[in-house]
Amino acid sequence: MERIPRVRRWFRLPKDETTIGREIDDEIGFHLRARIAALEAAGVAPEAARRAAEREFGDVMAARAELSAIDRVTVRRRRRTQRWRSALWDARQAVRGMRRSPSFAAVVVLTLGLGIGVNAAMFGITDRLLLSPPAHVTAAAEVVRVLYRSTSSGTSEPRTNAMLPYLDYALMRDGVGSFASVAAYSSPSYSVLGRGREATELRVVSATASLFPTLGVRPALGRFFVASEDTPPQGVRVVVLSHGLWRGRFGGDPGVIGRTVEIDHATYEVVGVAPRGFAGIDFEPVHAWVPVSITGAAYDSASWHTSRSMHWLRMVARLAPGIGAEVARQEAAATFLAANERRFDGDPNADVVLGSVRAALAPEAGTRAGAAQKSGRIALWLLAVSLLVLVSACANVANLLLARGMRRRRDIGVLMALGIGRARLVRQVLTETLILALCGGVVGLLLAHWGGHVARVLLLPDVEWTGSPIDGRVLAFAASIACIAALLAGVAPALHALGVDAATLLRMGGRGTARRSAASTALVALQATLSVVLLAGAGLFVRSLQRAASVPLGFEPERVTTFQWHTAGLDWGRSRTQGLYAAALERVRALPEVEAAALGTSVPMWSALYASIRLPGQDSVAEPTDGGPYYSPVSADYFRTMGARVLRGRVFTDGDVAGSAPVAVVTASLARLLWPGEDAVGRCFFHGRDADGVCRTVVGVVEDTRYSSLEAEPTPMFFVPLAQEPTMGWRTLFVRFAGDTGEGIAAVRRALDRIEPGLPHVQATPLQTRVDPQIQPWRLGASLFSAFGALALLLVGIGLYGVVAYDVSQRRRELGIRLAIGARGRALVRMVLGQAMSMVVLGLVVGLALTGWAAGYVEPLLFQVSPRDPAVLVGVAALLFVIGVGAASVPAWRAARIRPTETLRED
Amino acid sequence: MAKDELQLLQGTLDVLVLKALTSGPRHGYAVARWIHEATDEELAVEDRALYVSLHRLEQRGWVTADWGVSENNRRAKYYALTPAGRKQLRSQTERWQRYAVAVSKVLQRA
Repeated sequence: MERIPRVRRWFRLPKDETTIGREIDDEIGFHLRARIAALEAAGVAPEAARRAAEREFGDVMAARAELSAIDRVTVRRRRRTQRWRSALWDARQAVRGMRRSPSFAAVVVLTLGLGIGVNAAMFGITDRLLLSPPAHVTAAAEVVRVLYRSTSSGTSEPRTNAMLPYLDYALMRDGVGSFASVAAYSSPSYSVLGRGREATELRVVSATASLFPTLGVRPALGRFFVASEDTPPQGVRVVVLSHGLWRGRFGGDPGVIGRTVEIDHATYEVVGVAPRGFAGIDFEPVHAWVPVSITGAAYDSASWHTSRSMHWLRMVARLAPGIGAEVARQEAAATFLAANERRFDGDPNADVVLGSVRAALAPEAGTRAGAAQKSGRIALWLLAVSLLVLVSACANVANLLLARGMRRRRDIGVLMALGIGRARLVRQVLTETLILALCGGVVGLLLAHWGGHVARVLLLPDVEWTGSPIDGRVLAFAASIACIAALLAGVAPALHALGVDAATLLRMGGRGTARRSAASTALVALQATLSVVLLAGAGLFVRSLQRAASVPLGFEPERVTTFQWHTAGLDWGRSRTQGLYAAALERVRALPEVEAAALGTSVPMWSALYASIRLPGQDSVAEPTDGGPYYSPVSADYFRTMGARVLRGRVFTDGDVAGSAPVAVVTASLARLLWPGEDAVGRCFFHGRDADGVCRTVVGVVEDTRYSSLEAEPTPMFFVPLAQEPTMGWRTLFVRFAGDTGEGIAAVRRALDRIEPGLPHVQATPLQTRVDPQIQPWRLGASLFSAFGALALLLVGIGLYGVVAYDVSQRRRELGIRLAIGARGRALVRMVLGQAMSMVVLGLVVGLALTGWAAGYVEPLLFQVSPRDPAVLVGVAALLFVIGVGAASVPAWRAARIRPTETLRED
Repeated sequence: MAKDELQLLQGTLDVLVLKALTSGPRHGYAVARWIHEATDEELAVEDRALYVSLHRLEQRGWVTADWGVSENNRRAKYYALTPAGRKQLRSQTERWQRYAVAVSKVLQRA
């Protein structure tokens, strides 16, 4: 054992002020007495001797003050170095201990590394999504989103809106002095870059020239467009490329500035490139920015900038120096409400709201939270969940340390007999766990670096992420949770060190029958509890995913792909469009890769058309509760292409043309709504888009279609023959492939190319990609909860194995005696297993109770699954039980194979 | 005694105190007596200044202090040189001698 340096120093140092003063008094007293005695011995009279001694010494009181001031500093300094030295000694001991048992250290470091790693990764994402301002925005605290509140139509609820007309932007820019600058920008459009086969799809934001200056973003190359290029009614066609587009499409060539590119069939001059990783402030993919006065003029060249009805721009402003947000808000509200007096007449909720550019603090606008906000919420949940994994990891490490503490108790006894204080021992234990945790932190950061990339792609696949998932804030977070982990893991062993006394420890020596404390049982039970919670979460999300994925959609999206020509910016007449799609359908149908093809208009989960209907002899029909009905003009074969089941009657044929009898196909729910309890086939209804007096005859009933969301009840819907809707110019080509979708799309593209070479870009979208975002939240929850649950299960398995194995090794003698006096091996296995499983069952019960309590909070995140789903809970219990038996059976089996003769002889 | 003189003396006093401890641990009174005798009572310095010097030297780690028992069986605080203190004494002695030589050279020239 190592000698503790300068132990005696601890006893010799004066402890406090009074001791210092007493020692100085003693020292001066000794001096004076000695001098007086010497003078008296030389024949000086006692009184004269005293006076002489005092004169020679000088001012006693002053000396006393001076000396104690010096000593106080001395003591303070020495204590500091002493502390450093003992900390250093503790650290050296810890490192030495790790070297002595590298496998122990490895298990601890890896366990903590896993816990810290998942937390650092999740924190990195949450931080970037919610807490940090968007990249490249300077002095983000001064930048605010400008939104407004009004009463939601049909209710009295207030509702926050982000979209405003250009007019209101101009109003705020010119009329609100509290804003240093104001900018407006649109949502990213679906555009194409280039033409024909070389074209690529592009998300383009229309922005005012003030956007980059307001945010304080500097272009990586060139410049942002300027006010003179962005003046209503007509701006100049210039474009700023995103860094990603510039690198990907233009090879990062600096010569791109001044070149022209074709966007939506119009020519733009490239004036700048945005900095790397900048995509506005909304976490949406953006590839280019063009002046708002180009896009506006394309909508309505004369009056877009004075229109009150085009709500298409979001607004952001920078506060003037020294102006507080509330002052600015009041001024903006006054200006805004005065100018929109008629619109908000009598609306008590009408107001302006300023929001932070940080996603976490931004108010939710409208009913749809942005993708980043939604993913941010999920990330926040996952961060909380990953903390549970960390706690479980800490419990494991605490248990390992406890076990080792037991093995080292003779050492501890010796140290205590030497007079090492308990506080010192506790500090040593904590130093050791801190060093282990910091090593774990390093491992965790490596894991987080890798896991962060994976999690980013899982959460927000569309966003162009830049930079390493590890930055200064993640580093600081990882360091602090490593310290917390050290405390959590170290507290049980430290308390244990406090609770022992030297004499007992020395008496017990290396063997003894000391059982592990109740603490280690509690720790295993805690781990079991946490894994129950995590596994239950995983089970519930997996069930939700299953449910969501097996919701009858009313169509089979698997092998269906939709095709559309991107005709924006082209002056194609309606008849040309219709003719092209008709020709395309003929060609595509004939392809061997194609099983079926049809023309339609709207696409499920993407777009929808509403219609009003009326029944003969009735003024109105019962309105569907969730709006609607939807309607969709489709060609013959649409239902076969989509894989929709026909319940009654027939679907459309090539015979249902413009001149033939007007017909319709209704969904089951519309049939129920219009003719409850009766057969719909043969009945007729008035369709709002038909000529007066035309009653459409229902020829068939098909199954309900989930057209807009998985969660809502299917909206009632009807279909009419495309040929009987001559005014509808909108077209989509639906194709069901016989085999591989990728090959099929290539074949269709080739076929379309032959119709008219140089046609605009064809957008091909597998229907599955429209459906997938609907189940994405559950897929995400299921995969990450499962990963965390598996991790927790692994930890509880290791923890239980460790505890039981240690227990068995400590009880070798006892077990040996039991065997020697005739106990059966099987009985011993049962006994050991029983004790192990009691810990698991304890955790199980608490965990299930906890899950039941949390149920209310999880419910909104689930899909048609009760948070107390018995199948899930039983499954979790069974899984944990199996893992528990598995982990405990190896040491239990070893217990049965103990040879009594050996254990009794060893000592 | 004027303050200037004390300050002038401080460094010198430290050297003398260190020197007083070269032959082994001594308590404060013995250090004081040794200095008075070695300088033939020429040095007009209060004992108090010697103690300040001792405590300072302890703070700097040049001497250590410990309680012991004196010749006549009384509890007394003993001071001893540390290796660092010994080194300090050597370098200070050397410096003092060079200084004395330099000063006396100047004085002899006049």
